[in-house]
Amino acid sequence: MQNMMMRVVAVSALALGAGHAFAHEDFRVIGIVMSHQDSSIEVQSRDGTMTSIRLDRQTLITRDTKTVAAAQLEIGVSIVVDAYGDSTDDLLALDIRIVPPIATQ
Amino acid sequence: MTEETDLRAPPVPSPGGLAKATIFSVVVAAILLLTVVLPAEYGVDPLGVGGALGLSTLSQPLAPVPPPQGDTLAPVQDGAVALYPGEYRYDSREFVLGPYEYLEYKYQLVENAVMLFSWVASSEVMHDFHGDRDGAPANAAVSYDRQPRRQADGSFTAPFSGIHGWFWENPGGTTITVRVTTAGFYTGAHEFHYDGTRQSREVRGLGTIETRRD
Repeated sequence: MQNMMMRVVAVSALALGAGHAFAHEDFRVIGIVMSHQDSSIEVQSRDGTMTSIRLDRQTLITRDTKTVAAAQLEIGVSIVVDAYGDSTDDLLALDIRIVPPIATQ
Repeated sequence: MTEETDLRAPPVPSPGGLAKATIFSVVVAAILLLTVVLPAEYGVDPLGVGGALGLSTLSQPLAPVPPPQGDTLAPVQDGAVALYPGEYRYDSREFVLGPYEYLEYKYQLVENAVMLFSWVASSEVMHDFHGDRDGAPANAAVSYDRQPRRQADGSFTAPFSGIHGWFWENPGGTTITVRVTTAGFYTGAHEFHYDGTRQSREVRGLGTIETRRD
């Protein structure tokens, strides 16, 4: 009985969680890191827009095609973020490229 | 006079109470799973509640753009000649790609409809000439030519009805301009930007082309 209950709970949790992976669209955010906390960054685009983006364990962070630690996302570095979400208010980063400084407009 | 503090431990729920709470949670999760999550996310609606609430439509795959309404320019092949029920269209655009930006520009063509194209960029761009079948999910694109290029000139026959065109990505930190000119039996164009925005673009009829009289 207990095993059965655990299976039901696990399947329900997986189904509820898996829903987040669907019905999302891809977005690219290009700009400068303005803040970096454990699981999110704030990026300022060239037009001044601030975008908050979540990170997770699957987020791939690279510099010159080499994987680097999240600690490299220091304030002031230029990045290109490929993310997905329902809108720019709800983004999860898939890939983050640290790039040479991008000229501001 | 001091205030007395109740140092007693909070009541511990009995194993029976815990079991009831757990079962209740599982039942609620299962109800939500059957009535909301499965219909909305996967189109599975065993109880019919998703259809009644309109959630089932949420699970439909996102088409890149709605299929064309009204006129379509489908060719009728007669030997070496293909005749269309309308004149061909013309389009010319210039796009500016900022550092690391990308853009997609695609035309609505029915199966076997033909298009001529020339595009040139001010510097080499990442490029993917591809198509999305009408009604297919956005991630089911079919690639025709995918490689870095600075320009391309050619003709194209649509292998299926849908939107067909180019993905251009600026791979570096300087601004790049892309200029594209096409003529063909398409009915409209669509522009998709890196920031998730999209726009429909009107294409020109032959009446907009100036006729030279020498």
